[in-house]
Amino acid sequence: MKKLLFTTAIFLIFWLALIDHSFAQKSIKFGQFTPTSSASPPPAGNNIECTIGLAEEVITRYRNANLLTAMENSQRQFLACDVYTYIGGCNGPSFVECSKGCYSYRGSQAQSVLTNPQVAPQISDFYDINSTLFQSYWIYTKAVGRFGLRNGFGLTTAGKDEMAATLQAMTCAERVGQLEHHIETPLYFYPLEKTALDVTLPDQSTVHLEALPDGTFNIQNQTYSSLAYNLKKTTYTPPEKGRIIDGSNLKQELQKIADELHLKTTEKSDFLSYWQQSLPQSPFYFVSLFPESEALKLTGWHIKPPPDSEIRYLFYFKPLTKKPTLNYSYHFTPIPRSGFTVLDWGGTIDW
Amino acid sequence: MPEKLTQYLKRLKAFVRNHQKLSIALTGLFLLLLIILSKSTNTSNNLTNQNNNLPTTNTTSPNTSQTPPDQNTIYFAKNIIKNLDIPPTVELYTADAQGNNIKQVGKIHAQAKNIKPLAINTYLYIGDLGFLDRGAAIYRFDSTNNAATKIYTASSGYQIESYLPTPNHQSLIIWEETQGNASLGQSRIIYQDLTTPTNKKILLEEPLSDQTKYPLFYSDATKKIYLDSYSVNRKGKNRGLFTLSLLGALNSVLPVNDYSTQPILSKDGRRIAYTSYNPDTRVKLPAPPVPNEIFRESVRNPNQIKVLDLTTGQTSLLAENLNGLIFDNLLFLPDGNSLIYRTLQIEANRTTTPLSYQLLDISTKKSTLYSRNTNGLFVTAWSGGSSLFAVRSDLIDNLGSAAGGNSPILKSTYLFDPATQIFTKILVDDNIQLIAVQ
Repeated sequence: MKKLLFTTAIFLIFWLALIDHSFAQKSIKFGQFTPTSSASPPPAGNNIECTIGLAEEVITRYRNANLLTAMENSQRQFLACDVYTYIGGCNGPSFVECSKGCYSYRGSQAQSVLTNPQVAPQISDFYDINSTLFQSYWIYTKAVGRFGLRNGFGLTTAGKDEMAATLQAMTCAERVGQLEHHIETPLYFYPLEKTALDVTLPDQSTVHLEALPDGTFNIQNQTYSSLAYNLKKTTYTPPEKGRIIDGSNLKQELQKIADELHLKTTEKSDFLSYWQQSLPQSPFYFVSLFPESEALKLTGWHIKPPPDSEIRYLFYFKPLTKKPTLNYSYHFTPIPRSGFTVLDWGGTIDW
Repeated sequence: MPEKLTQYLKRLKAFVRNHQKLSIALTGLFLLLLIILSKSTNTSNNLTNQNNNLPTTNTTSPNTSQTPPDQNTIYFAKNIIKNLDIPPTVELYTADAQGNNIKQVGKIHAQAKNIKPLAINTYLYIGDLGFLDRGAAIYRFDSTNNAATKIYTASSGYQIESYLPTPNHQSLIIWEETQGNASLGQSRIIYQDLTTPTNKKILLEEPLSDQTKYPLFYSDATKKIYLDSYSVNRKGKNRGLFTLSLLGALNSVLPVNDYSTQPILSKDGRRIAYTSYNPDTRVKLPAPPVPNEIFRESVRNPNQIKVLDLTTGQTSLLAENLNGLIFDNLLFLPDGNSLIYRTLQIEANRTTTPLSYQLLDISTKKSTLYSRNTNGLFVTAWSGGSSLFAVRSDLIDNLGSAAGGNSPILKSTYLFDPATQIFTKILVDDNIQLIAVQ
């Protein structure tokens, strides 16, 4: 009996160790878990690419609305008024009138404050800080200036150097909010007959849907034409060869690519509207397709039952200000569709 | 081999020899358990990916089946032009809870911030903006005739930073700071009765400091104003959370570094939720190599989510990750029993990558996947039975504000259905500000 109890006790201990991971992990004597060393900071990185992308998108919107010059001027003006007030230029009983004169529409003091000898050099300093963090646009300079004044950095050289160093060390998310590169890509399903599918996406979630031969599918009695998801990784090796397209003729250029790849009507329509909306305004673009192996790594979806053809057209767009000369020609070659086909035409913008 | 172990093995052999059937049965049971456990362990490993917050394979829809149809109105403003070359104008719009029936309801011909709807045609805003966007007055705006009436003037020598209407809309809690100054001077929190203008009380007055307090929200459940604080001397925000009664009694709720970001209040005013930092984490963003504390570790690494019951004082840890996952963008569901939050991964190159939105059940502390799509999106409010997501546009006002007095300017707004993971675009595109959903 004692032996039986002893063996059962050994058995129970092993059982507990297996079902309760925390128990196992804390039990160093079992040798199943080694505590890690204390937290260490990751190596320094480069955030410049994120700020340039953000600046370009905001600038494009203001430019398209014909507000860019006016916005730059007014931001410069507001910063000048802030600095002028900060250095005591608007103190005393006349504060309210002085403030109105600077900040208001066509205020009487506005222009003179900009050229005030105590204010002008400060504006230049903030402009210089701004240009190391973003592209050189005044609509960001006001933000940097206000950040500095609110947090007590002041107008000394040491204060501004510290502020610049602080902002430079920030992540994209901390410095400019959560404006990320939008990498959304759609999936289209073409079974030969009505088929229930399990689509596992890169984040390991699974969508259950009923796909129809006409390319539509149903989820909970709602009909859709494409399933959007996010790409698995955001790091990649840019393709080396591609085509230069004219930004002033974007719609026609995209149509040509869609036709070369034999995209169906819905796919083509979605493709045109998505990229026309998502691409930042640019005179030219370098456009290419990722090789099949890279596309497979970036997309990372799985479908059950597996399709006969899995087509991944993963685009790479890079906005360009000048048209480079290429000594080759690039073709968008369609992948044949056969049997039950799934198509993915997503992509990324390198900006 | 140790003697004891040898003896034990001998005994075990003898036992097995003498009790063969029992030994076979026990071994069979043991193997069966191993098989069952290994299957369940594999499943959870596929889901977790070293992530203590478990997204499951099923998306979850918050249980709103018992709630009546949403009668909320979405209030937003468009084309807010802060441009000294043309007269400033703010266009006011409303839409129903589904983002339909968009109507322009009025125009404010002035620079304005902190626009808040009181009733369907009545708004308040801070006007006569100046230094650091502080204002000289609070106006009531009647959108039926675009008429603005000054209802409060900043105290002499002060400018208005922000304000809160009390839930009955009969009073304002106003935050003022010494005019034209950022780090020297005074800060005041004032109670102003709107029905009796002479009924004005200074609830709190203090010198500008490393813990300058400002009102976040008012809880009808506790009848107290909740104050966050910031430093005017480069020590950053979230320097301590306090309560302030309408009689001026000040008490501490959370000391500095006990929370990472500004808390949010549940709709019934009974709970706050906030992120916080466990320094025992294995992966973190270090404080930058500068003397100031603006981006100190406890602010950069919100790896916990907590909820505090304001009526009992009890705090619960709802989620924690010590492997480089941080949380932000908290939003209470209307019933106050669940939270939406976003997860981000700290990367090796000192950036962060948004991963997903999760739905957290406060009573069970379990998280389930709410939305896979995080690119550029943040969740703003609750409308029409769904969460309201948006993509940020111009970020200028956010970067410069100490107390978040301005709402972010949005590029696109979506209603989100977690059951289908479908985002439906609503309202209009570009440069709108979401003022309220109520």
